[in-house]
Amino acid sequence: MKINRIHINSFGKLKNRTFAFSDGIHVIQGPNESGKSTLHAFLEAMYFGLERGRGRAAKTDNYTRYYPEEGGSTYGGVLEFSQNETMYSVYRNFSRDPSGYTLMDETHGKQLSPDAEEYRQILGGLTLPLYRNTVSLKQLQAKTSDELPGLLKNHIVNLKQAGSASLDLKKSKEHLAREKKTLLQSVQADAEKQASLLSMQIREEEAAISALPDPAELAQKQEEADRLSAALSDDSGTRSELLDAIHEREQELSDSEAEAAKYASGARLFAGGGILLILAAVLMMFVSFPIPAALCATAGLLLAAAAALYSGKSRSLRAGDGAASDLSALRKEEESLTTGILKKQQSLKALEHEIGDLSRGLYKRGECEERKRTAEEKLEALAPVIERNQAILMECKAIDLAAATIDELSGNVFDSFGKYLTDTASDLIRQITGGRYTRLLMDENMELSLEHEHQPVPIASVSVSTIDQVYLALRIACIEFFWPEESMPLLLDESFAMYDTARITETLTWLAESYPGQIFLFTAQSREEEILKSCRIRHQTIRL
Amino acid sequence: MKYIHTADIHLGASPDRDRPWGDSRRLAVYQTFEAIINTARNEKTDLLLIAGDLFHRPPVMREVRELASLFSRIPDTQIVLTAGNHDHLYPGCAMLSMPLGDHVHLLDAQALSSITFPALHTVVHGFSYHQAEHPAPFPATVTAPDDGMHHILMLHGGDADHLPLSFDALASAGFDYVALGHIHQPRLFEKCAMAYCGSPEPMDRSDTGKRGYIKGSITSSGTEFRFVPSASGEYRQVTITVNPSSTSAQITDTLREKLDHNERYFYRITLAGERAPDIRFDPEIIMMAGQIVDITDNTIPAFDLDRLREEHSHDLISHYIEKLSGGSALERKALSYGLAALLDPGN
Repeated sequence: MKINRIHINSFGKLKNRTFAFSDGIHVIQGPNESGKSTLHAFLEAMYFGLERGRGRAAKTDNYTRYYPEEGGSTYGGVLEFSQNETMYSVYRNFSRDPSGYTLMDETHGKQLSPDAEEYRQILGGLTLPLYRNTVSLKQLQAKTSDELPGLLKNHIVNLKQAGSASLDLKKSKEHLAREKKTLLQSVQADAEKQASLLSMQIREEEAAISALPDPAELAQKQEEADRLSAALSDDSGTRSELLDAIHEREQELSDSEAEAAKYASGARLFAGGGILLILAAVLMMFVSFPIPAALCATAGLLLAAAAALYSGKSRSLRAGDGAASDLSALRKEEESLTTGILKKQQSLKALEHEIGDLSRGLYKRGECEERKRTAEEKLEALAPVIERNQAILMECKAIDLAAATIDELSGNVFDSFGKYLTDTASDLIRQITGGRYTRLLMDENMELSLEHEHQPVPIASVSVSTIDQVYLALRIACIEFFWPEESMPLLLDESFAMYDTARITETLTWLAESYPGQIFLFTAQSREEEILKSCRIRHQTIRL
Repeated sequence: MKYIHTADIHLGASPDRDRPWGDSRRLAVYQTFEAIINTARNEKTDLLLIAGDLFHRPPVMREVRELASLFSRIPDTQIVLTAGNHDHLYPGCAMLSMPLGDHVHLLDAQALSSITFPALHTVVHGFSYHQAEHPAPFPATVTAPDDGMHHILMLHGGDADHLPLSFDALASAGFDYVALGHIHQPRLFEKCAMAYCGSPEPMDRSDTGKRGYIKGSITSSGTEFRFVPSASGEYRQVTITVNPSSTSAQITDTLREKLDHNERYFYRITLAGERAPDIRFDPEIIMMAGQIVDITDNTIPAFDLDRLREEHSHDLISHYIEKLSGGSALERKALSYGLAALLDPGN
């Protein structure tokens, strides 16, 4: 990029001035308060417009500082520059619009729409932060040499982030952390654990249910019990019939025994009578008493009756014997039936016990099923919660990735930028210092040192002008980094104030030989011009 | 031989339980099944096939009792059912230990088994799940016996974890009808007698579209079947494309106008398009627009990436965009989060 010409309508103390620039070195010379800073500010304002502060800040912003004394109607001017073999003009009237501009493509004679992006491209990607950190850099306003190393270090940090000057990585990271925290607040942390506990419970209940009786088992036992109690009631019917029969038989038996007894007592009576008569007859025989025939006949009759009665008894007894054997059979039957009934009653009791157990088991099973169901329902209700949790965790993962990527990039890319800077700056320093210093070294803590005869020399112990040279070298390295294909203007504002003549000579000679772009040297002294003249370096002097 | 083929009834499920209409959805699941039973009774259907997931979960005893009582309404219809992944059998489970009725036949084996109905001249083949998953595919070698009977195959599955199926093999296996269950979306195969009947009532918000069952008949001249809609509710998918000026209130208004506010329609809303990077759509507000079951926000913040890359070609942002332009969902999200944080960290 080359600045061809500027025209100031009105800007601070400068009014209606035109400056034309060529390639190479320009010395812009004038005593303090002559307008050097104003010109400097004008260039920046023409490129990027004037930012207006708000409220109280408006009273001290550049817009107010450079507001023309005679009024704002002509506040502004024209900047002509060429870029990529095209010449552009930027027209600005700050009082009308502090950031507005008109852009002309002079080469093709057309007005371009004021599209910020297009304009930025035309400027080769130059943004205000980049401009302030590279092309146009105010001097390190250090009054003491103690402050300088610190300032330089700060500057390098700024340079490292030059492109990201508009970014606040720390704040960005905090923003991400806040987002994540908010998200995590809506995570139901124990949902997954609950779900796995519920699944476990469901499996346990299922196992418990498998071990518990099922309704079919109960129905079977119930049926068995019903059958058994039906059989029991049959048996007890049979038994009562049997008992009846036994009773009957017993009655019969006792009846026949009574009859036999009756016969027996009759027979005994008759037999007794008969025997007495026979005894009487025998007695009579001994006393030779003729036995009356009638007596004998009576005894015979009595005996016959007794015999008859005996036979009746034995008949009755015989009949009684039959009934008795019947009775014992019946009794036996009854006995075995009773045993059977007892056995059945026992097994029914056992069965009823079992049925009781089964019913209790079934009840338990019902409880298990309900518990299982409750768990299943809870598990199902958890599913959307878990789904939501997973979605949130995915968001958190995305935030983590965002943060990690920012970290990685700010580390990697800008570390490599830092390395590039020190490497390029080392070359430049070697050239500027004529080989006195061979390398710029930067450690992890951004502590700088210069290598002198293979020994690192802490930057704090080198001279102020050497530090200034390092600073210049870093700037140029930075410009080369951002615009490797282009030559950019370099604005040096009182950069050589601390240099001795030899150092200025060294630096200017090097710049004239090596720096491809325009150089604008703002200075209050005549030293620079004199040196350029004595070294026969082509330059243009502009006096304010 | 007239048959009804249903599956995935999910008795006991209560879709949308967290929404105000949850109760009516739970009832609808039962009512729609009852309506199928009544249809079988009124039309003297010979065979009712239930290809798995009759219950939403392995049923408990009282549920089986209820089912048996429903089935008792159609004593003249032979009912064949298998257990699916949701109502899988386990040792001693209520389904195995409760009587269902003489006309109800649970093909409870884990291996393929069959039941013959000589009067219907029909054999039904099938098997039951004994676990919630069945990763083993259905063997492609199974074919219908060539014995002059009508052969029906009942299967539950068709995805990777539930009986992977080769539809081509099934189509050419010689069955007079293949009754499929598990997939809730009805699908009637062409050129072969095979169908997913779908769930009679949509089960959850992912079941968008029409739902019903299959009515068919097998005669000596072949199989005829058709889909019969039965669902009382329907989930509908509506996509709203937002733009960077869209707000929750605006979307709510658009939906109020756009949706058919019939109480049988339940809406799933997807938000697509580009939103302003700083806006967050509030689902609670948008849900007020109607019977909305859920809202999926697929909007992406309207970052002009090309422009950002250009504008920030020298700083971290262009590197950041570059780094996360892989295109995975995670990277896209990370890109949005990071850009929002980098461009407007104070927000």
